Amino acid sequence: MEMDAATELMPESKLKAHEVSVFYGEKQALFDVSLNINDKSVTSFIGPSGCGKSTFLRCFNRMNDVIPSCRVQGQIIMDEVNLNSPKVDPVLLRARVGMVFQKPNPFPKTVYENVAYGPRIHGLAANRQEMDFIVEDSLKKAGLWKEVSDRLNDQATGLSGGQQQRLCIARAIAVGPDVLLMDEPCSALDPIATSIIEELISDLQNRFTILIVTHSMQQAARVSKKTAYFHLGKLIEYGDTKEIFTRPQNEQTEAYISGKIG
Amino acid sequence: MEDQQHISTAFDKDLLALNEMVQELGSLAIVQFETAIDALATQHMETLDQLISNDAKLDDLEAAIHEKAVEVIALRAPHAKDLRQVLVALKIATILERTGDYARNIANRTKVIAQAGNENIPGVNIGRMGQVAKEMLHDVMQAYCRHDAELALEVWRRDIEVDHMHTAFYKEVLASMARDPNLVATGAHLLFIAKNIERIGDYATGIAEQVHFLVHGAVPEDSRPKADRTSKVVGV
Amino acid sequence: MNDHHEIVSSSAGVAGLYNAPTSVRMAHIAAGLKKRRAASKRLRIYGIAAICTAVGFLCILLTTIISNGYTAFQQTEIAVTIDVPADEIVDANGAIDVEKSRNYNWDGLVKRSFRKAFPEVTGMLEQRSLGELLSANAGYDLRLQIEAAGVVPTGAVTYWVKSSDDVDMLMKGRMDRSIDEKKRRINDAQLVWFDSIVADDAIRLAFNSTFFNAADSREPESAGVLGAIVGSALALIVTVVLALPLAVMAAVYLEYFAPPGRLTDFIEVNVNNLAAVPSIVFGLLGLAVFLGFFGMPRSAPLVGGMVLALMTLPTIIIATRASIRAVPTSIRDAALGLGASPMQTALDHILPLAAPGILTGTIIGIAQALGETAPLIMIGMVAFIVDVPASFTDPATALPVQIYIWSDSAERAFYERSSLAIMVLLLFLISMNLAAVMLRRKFEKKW
Repeated sequence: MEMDAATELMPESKLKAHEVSVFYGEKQALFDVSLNINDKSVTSFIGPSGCGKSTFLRCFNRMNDVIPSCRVQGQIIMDEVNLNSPKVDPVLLRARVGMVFQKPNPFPKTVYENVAYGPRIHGLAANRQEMDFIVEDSLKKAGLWKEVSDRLNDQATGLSGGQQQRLCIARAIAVGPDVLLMDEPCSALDPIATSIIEELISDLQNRFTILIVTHSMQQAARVSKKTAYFHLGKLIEYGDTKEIFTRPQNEQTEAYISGKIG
Repeated sequence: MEDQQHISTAFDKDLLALNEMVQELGSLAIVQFETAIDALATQHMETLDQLISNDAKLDDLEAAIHEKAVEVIALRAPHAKDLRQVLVALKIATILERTGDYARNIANRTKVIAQAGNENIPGVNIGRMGQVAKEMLHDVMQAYCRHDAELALEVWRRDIEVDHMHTAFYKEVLASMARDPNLVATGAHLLFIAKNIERIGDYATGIAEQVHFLVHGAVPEDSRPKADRTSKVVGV
Repeated sequence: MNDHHEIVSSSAGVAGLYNAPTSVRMAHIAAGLKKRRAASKRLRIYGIAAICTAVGFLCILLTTIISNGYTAFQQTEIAVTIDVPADEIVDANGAIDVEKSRNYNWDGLVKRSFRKAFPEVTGMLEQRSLGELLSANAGYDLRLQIEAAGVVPTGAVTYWVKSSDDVDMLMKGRMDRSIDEKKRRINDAQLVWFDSIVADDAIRLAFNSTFFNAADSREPESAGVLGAIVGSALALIVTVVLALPLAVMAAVYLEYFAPPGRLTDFIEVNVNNLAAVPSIVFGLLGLAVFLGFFGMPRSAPLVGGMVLALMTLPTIIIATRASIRAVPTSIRDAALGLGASPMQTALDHILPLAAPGILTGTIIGIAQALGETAPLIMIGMVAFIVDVPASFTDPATALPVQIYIWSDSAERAFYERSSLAIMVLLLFLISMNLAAVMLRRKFEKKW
């Protein structure tokens, strides 16, 4: 509890979103969202389906660029650079902002190759030894090393769902990002695997800034320090998770949390 | 705690913190009560004043426990034994805070008795009653710490002793007051003090019931053994 | 008020069965069941009838071809005892002198030797008639045989010499002996000689190896498909080398890099249209551009391959795009999320996973190209080529074109051989399609 008090005193904003709006063609999906994300902590985005939380998440690593009709307005500042500017190279950005997706999506390659792919394309390992170290370290940080250390050359698709998702986390970590974006990482997993990954996220927040989109309020309550509630593309409330779940200030938030809407 | 650990270490930490807070409150309450009983005999003014001001600490701690319990329920959505643990912590904290209030009340009345300066006070039994009640509190908090429903039940049955002692003391004070009208004021306070101690004995059994609920999921089936006959005393 | 009544009454009538008790409903459904089953049965019968018709026509096709072509596996040969005069052929050391050999009248030798078996045949016309029983290339064949052996055998040796194509047809029973002599290609005298040769056991049906190791010839008995096969193979190599990389890159571009807009839509629509363009149009294009404008060699497998590549390009592009789309987007998202550039994503992940589909599409496209005739005719591969092509720029013909040429000619023997060539072509097509199916199955299991 003393640790909490210390970090409360010095929250550092790692990411600042300023009036971010997203359009799919003519349809506006996100309306002028502004918030600051603290460094080295977990922030969650909650809200009913279609509220724009995943869209907002994808702004942080420019994955919305991949969708042809998508247009992002506004600024997202990290280390005093606006990520949304056309001058920023998405490839470079994604080496600093990693992503884990809803459905575990390991490449149909070996476990080793999956983790090694990111460092390889960015040239982070000078030789085989360094790569071995990166792979082992990433798997250890993802809590998967003990389970796969003897089957690094087996196909990744042979692992269980929870293991595959941890592999995807290891793969994202291997590139050494500052920020990890997680888009409903546990929705395809059973409760035990979900708990294991939530515990992992708790550990990881000491090293990474983590943004997690979740449709489970309970998960946001368990895992995150700060929570943002979205509804129909607007940011309704953003604050400490403890406050949001015991005394939300906005009655829309209250209604959602209590299960009265969406 | 022999219970299995949760996958989420934060959850374990929260429950542990809640537990520790309740135990701290328990220690504080027992100390307050102990001090009050001792001060009945010594009538040491400074001790009494200190006790009265200390009561604020218990209030604060009870508020903190309340806050923590709400947090655990909102954020962790506990079930089964975890849920009972949180609810029991809430209830026991309230009981302990009221115990502290009674201790403060005893101190206040002791001050008045001391200022009145009466030598002739029947007080033999009250010390003894206080002792029994204090032991009940101590044992029941042990039972809470160890999740020991057997010990709790045993404490639960001890309350009858306190009730008996209270009834006896009550009659004794009434007799004193009847003999010497000057003692009425002091006697009235003594009656209240005795009542407070008896209530504290009841509180200990309340805590014991909560411990039983925590361990077994239900309060004890038999009705609480009660032997307080003071409400039936008519004349001397 | 009125509306309310109407609604109530009409709903009572329309939903009569809906609100009726279960037994009534079930009885109604059961009654209708018979009609539904009958309809199902009828549909099944139609389906089976359709399949039977298709299979029937297929059987008719195959039966016709096979019955016409199977005899081409064999070639009639007549035994002739020939004493090759060594001193006319060899040089001072006893080795064969090529110059002398070329100048020697082998044909005459063969015919003279043959006539020895028929001493009763005199008179120039009669003797010529007798000689016509043998292949016109008999002398040439003998020369090649002796030269290949390297040494002239001493004394008289019995050689099996190819008969003429008419005798071949006669031997195989494909010539009607009963029709009027003037309408026959074999006259009565020749028939008599034929029968006597048969009676002497001096005639046999041997395996027609010439068919498989010679190129086209004027005489059916000397004609083979090797030239056409090699021509087709060379053309197809050019097709694959040109079409596959271009198509794959075009598909990747269209799928990932093309900016959305009218130009891209226009390109896409036209790619799909090109797949439906009649193949002869590509032949005209090849004629005008490759032969006319660039002046490339006529009838060369290179040009044929280029034309076929143009034709196959849309097919492979469409197959590649379909395979790329079949790769789940999650893989692409994962790669992009790690910071892979779009090119790296395509090369490292998408294409390897799409490869089986691309391969299958390519094989099917090639199998189609293998059977194309019209465009190749347009660029001149319909010429009469007697040599097996040795390079991409030598004049050549292709197998389907060869079939077309042979089926056009008057000799019955060519008809038989074109049927056999069709069987060879079908065999290639079936095996290529089979390879495509097996490859797809093998890779689908892995995925």
